[in-house]
Amino acid sequence: MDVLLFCLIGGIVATDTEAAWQSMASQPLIACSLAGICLGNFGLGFTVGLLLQLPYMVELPVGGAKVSMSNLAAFVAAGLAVKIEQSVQNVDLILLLSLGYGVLLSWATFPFWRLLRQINLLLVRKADDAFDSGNLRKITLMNFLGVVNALFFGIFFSAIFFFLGKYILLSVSSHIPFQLNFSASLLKPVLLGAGLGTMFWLFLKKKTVGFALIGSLLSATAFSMF
Amino acid sequence: MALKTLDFIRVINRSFYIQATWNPERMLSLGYCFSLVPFIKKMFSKTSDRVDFLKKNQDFLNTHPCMATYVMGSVMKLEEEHLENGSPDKAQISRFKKRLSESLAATGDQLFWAKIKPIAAIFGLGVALFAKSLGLWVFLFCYNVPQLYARVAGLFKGYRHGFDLAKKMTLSHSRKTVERLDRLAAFGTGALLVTLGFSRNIAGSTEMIAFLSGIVVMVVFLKAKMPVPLALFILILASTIVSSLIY
Repeated sequence: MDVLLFCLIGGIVATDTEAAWQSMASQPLIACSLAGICLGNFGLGFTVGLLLQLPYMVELPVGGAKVSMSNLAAFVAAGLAVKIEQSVQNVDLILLLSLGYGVLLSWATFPFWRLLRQINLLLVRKADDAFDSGNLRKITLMNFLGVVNALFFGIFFSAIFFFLGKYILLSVSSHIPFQLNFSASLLKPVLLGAGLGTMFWLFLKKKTVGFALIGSLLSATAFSMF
Repeated sequence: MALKTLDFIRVINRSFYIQATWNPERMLSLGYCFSLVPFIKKMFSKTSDRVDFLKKNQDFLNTHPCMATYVMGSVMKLEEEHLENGSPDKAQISRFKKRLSESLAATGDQLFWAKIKPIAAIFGLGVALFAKSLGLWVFLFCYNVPQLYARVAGLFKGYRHGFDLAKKMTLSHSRKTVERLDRLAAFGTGALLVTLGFSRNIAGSTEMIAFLSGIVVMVVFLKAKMPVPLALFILILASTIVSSLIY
């Protein structure tokens, strides 16, 4: 039942990413937290979202730009992290496996955006006769079907790659020697650094360095006081 | 027939679905017409007038979803004036719509995708490090307040100004806004750097070195135009190998 809800939320994540609202509820930080809540471990889901949120900020969904399926892949990764926790005890290892899978998934599946958009194009062409006849109801229906398209796309994507990932990650984890259980302890700081590096890349210029320093000083002052 | 506030609210509500059928050939054309259905029903009682309006707007339209209501409001005003006075003519309206939508596409991309979204993420993440649930709400709030403002104000401003909207929304005005947002983002990034350092995620000196290495390596990868998933995968692999060697 919780997996069904998980897939439904995946559909909402896909819908919010492009088809409707764009409220940022589909962003990794929030979507992964929702995955965690849905499957019974908010903290772990949140951690996955925390690590994946900032690096993907550099990908701008401008016009026909090719962007990775970061939102859905991060959502699936968070769900997997919570699901394999029952079998894999080490949290760092869980993060390593699920994040590695999620990152590869985001890269390998970006052609799926093309599929989604081709279906949208079919809907738009089907609406051509509505334009010719002034049929506003059909125009409304065709646009609504675009939302349904994104919703079902997200549901199927989440379901397929969640179960595939569960099979792969549990198989891999059962073959990992005990000594490598601690091999992921630097993963969190490195990925947090990567996220911050992305922000430096986007915003740190000659004109803004001063403001970054002011932010750092104020933050340091606040922490030292409390 | 005069437009009422409810008509504007209906258009704004529908504008949230403008990207539902986004496609590379016509982009937002169907979503745009879908959003204007309440206006079309009110203004064009004859089917031939509706067909005429829809055919004009059937082709390619590219703009930013949060800024689309500026275009809609202006077009609503101009079409209303055309119906009343016969001026401006339809070709002028089409040309104006095309130019406005293209310039707002660039403005919207700069403002929302490149600035407001990362800024919301920075502040949301910073708060979430210490109060998880609150941080998520901060993220949503920081992005959605400007988004809602743009959508609501855009429709009414576009409707009020019509052709004059292009003069009101000057390039220098949006440049100033972008510069201010850049400064805010840099401020947030600096604060986040210290916040992460003080958080429980980076406990010892080895982890601090890993954190700083992550920053440097990611900047190098982005400078080399490496795709983000590949950069992250290399970092995950590298951190695993280094951890295995150390521990």
